[in-house]
Amino acid sequence: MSRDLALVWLAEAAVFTLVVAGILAERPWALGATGAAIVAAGALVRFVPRLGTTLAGAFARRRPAALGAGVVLALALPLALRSSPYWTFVATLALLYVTIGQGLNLQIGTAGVINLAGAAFAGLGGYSVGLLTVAAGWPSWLAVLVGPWVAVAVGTILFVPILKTRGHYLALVTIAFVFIFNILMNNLEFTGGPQGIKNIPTLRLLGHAFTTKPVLAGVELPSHANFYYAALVMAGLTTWVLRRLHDSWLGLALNTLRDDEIAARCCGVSITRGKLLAFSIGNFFIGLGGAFYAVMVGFVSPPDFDFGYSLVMLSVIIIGGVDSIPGVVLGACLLVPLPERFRFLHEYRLLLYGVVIVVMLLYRPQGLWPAQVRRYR
Amino acid sequence: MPPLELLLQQAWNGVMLGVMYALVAVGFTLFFGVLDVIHFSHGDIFMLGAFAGLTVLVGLKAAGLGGPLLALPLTFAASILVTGLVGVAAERVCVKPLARASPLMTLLATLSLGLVIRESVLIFYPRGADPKPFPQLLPQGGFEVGGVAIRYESLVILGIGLAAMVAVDRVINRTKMGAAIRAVAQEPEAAQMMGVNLDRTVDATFFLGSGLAAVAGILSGLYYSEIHFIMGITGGVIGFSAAAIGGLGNVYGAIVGGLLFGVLQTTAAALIPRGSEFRDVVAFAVVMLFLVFKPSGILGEKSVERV
Amino acid sequence: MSSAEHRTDLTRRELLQGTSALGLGAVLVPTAAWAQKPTVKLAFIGPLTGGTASNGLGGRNSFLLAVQERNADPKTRYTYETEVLDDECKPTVAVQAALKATSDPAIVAGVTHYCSVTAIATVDTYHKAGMPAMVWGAVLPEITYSHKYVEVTRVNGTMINQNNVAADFAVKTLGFKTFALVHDTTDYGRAHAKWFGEFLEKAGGKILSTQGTAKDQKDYTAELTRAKADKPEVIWYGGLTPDGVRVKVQMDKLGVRAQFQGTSGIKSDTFNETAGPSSEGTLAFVEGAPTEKLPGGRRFLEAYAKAAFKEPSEAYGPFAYVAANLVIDAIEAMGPDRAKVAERLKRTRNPNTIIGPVEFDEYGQNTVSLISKYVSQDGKWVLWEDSEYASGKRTLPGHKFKKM
Repeated sequence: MSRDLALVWLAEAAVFTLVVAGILAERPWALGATGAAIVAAGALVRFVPRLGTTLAGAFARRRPAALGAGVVLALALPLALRSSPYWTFVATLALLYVTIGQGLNLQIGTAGVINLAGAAFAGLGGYSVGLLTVAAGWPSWLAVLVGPWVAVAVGTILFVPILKTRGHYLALVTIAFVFIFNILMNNLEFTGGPQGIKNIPTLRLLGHAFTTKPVLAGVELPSHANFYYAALVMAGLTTWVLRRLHDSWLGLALNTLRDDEIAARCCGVSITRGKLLAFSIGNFFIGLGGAFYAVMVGFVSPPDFDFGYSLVMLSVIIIGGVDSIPGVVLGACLLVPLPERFRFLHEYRLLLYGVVIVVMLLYRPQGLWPAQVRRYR
Repeated sequence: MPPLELLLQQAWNGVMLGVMYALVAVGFTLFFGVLDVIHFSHGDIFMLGAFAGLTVLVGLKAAGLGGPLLALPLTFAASILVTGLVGVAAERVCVKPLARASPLMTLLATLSLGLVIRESVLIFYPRGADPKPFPQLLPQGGFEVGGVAIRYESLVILGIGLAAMVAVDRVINRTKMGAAIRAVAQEPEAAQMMGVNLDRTVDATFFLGSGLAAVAGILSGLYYSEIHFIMGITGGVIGFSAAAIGGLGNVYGAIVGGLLFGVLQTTAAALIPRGSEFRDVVAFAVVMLFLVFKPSGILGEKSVERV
Repeated sequence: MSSAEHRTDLTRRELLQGTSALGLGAVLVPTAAWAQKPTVKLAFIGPLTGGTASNGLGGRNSFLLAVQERNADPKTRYTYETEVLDDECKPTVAVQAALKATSDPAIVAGVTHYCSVTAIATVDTYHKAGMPAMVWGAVLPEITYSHKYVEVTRVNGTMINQNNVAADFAVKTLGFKTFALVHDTTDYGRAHAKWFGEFLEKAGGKILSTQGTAKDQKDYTAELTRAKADKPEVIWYGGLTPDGVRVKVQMDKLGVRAQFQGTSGIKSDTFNETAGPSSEGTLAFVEGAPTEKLPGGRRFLEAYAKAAFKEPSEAYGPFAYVAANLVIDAIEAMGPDRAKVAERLKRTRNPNTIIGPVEFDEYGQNTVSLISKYVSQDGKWVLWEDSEYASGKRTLPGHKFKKM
């Protein structure tokens, strides 16, 4: 049994080291070596079946220990990245995408309600925070708590389309919605027009502004570390709540209506209630991510919430694995930092991004961490 | 309220716009018909068609064959061929392998493919970041009817657009391949049992749809005298919208939808205050209303629900 | 990172840029001297992808040209390395790029942003990190006038001066009375329309209509038909080249009989090339002295041509070039210390750059408000004073229509 524990911790430590090395490696040989190590580790697990099954078994038996160590490593990440505020920011962004992705996954993955307006709902959260703090003078924390509800409330506009359309038609309705949202934000006066809303006050905790640099065990961390820890708590709570929801009767009912509406109706599942509930809960978390983004960056503007970001959100859940809670976490932690890592490619970056997404979809259409078949004990 | 002739002029502007939307929309609707997918890179295929046309034109000019009577047919033929083949390649790589997966997969894959096509033109076409001048080959000048200014050029473009639509209609209704396309659209398995080669039919459909996008791309170049690598983004979204308003899977619906969207945009810009800023809000709001209250589109068949 | 390590770093970047950006390989060829000198890193941020990429790439090339020239100069104290980042003309991406630049301690200063929306978004990022950033292309006034940060300076003028001159010129010199305004709905177009409109009314011009259009819009027939109905003498467009081309070409196709006047955004070679014969007689206004007129400016254009970049320098390339040189001057004087370089940059007083004299006010804004007026003549932008339109040899389209 203690062998399992050692194996779990060793594997986690190895992944952590590789990730940090991959992020911080600057010089070509270091980057090359890290890349080779990552490929080698992947190949080892993939092609030595005994190793793979042993690891999987160890993780299955030692779940609490694995989770605990994972939390410790996640807490230690800003410490490892302290030389680079930039990467702390990117890590925080990835955590926001975990929150947003979980919300979107409940809608698209669990309930089958296609929503390509993720950027609009994140924008509703963000813009609410901007308007409530800058125009109405509310404290930031209160605005962050209220912002998601605005996203939920505005989402009711789409209730009728959601019930009356599905599939490609629903996709188009939500695309139209995100376009309309963007044009309105850009052209209305009270939303600040193309400049958006600037100087959104930052979060404060017991009188401490989040923008001051935290000191942990005598080591000064980059200023975004505060946001990182807050986002970690938020992403953790979101993932936990949505995992419970996914495993609950409601989650099961939503899966049923996603797979076959008529069968679901026969089993007494209310289509209307299920779809609208999933859509609203999802919007809450998407809006929460947007609201948090607004206080972290300090401004919101229309291009921050255009259709392109809806696609990033969609790719997070599809690459991770549709309807897979851990898949969303993995998808966000891969898809947000990776394009940043390839910034040195300049104008070739987007081209490569497109190619990578296509190749991943063809090679692994079920996602990197596919949803498991439900098991109830 | 603007005077009537101004409204008519705006409607005419909208029709010209709508012809190009319609040609793109027909592609969306054809693909949906045979494979039940939305091929989102179709907007960028439309852009590629315009660039292929430009390349051929520049080449012909360099070879001393710049006269419009010879250059135009050659350009259309070459661009349709190239773009059609790219469309078939896109389908083989990105669409058909995922046709059995969830529609979301195709959506994301084709959107990413569109990004790849767009960025490739930006990077690999000589000075691809700039808008490109498109040669003026059609007769310039025009006349006025009842206060509406009409250019000879526009009439030719309208004529070519209508001819392309009639040609599609003929291909679909009068040829063997067209019968196969219709059969696959209705019931792929039954069609296969009747001896229809599914793969070939799908290829042919994508060739046809992408070739139409090439026609639309060249017409857009001729009409605006300018093409730019980002023209496919809005072209794609609007083409999809037009196809959906008309009823996905229905070719005539796509044509009506394209014209409607074009007229909607120009008249919204003309009629409402600050219309040019909010014209797309109006257009997309109408799309949403259509999808909700007439989900099968203007000409779409009523979908039968299993109960 | 110790300075000895920079060498390998440069080689890697060189390799990547050389293979990826084609023409760029030649730019960073190290000279024999640099091996002994300590290295300093400079950042460039601008849009390298998306609709405004041509301006971003032109700025990047000009920036790289300046760095290459200074590296080749044996008198410099440091060898300069470059970090080129793409802001995609999007605020979030720009903040990420700015964070990446500021969090690299080897980067002393940056030449940053073409799009107003990205420049305004990153002002606080540079301030918090204490890294001097010189804006090379964005023209929104608030980028400098909304704060007094020592870190942010701007070498190009704001749109205020430009529109003042443009409005006075159109009304008082050319004698146009009625205007229809069309502008894109970005920061750039909207603010231009606001300032131009204000100065126009002060000068005695009359605005018949104002219409905002989406950026990258393809079809302007609806807006132009609407504007045409009021029979304006001038159609004014506030926006960038791709859209400006469309407005002008479609004006001709619709038979709108009016003068076309644009802003700095359309003063690019691409405008003339793409609009073709339609470009003839178009007016545009740019902040700064005419590059091609100053001795240094001619040298820049020649050096740029010789470097064989894939893309032209465009209207704001010279500004990026000047910004890079000013930043390098400051580092040469103060050493690679961000705070000292920022102080020094703000006190810049350089009477002869290739864009004319540069001097910053308390907001870090270049106060030398020289505005150059251009007219498109035979497919080239010609300084108004030198043009055949000014000499009376040709007549502006707007004047021709007036007589008819």
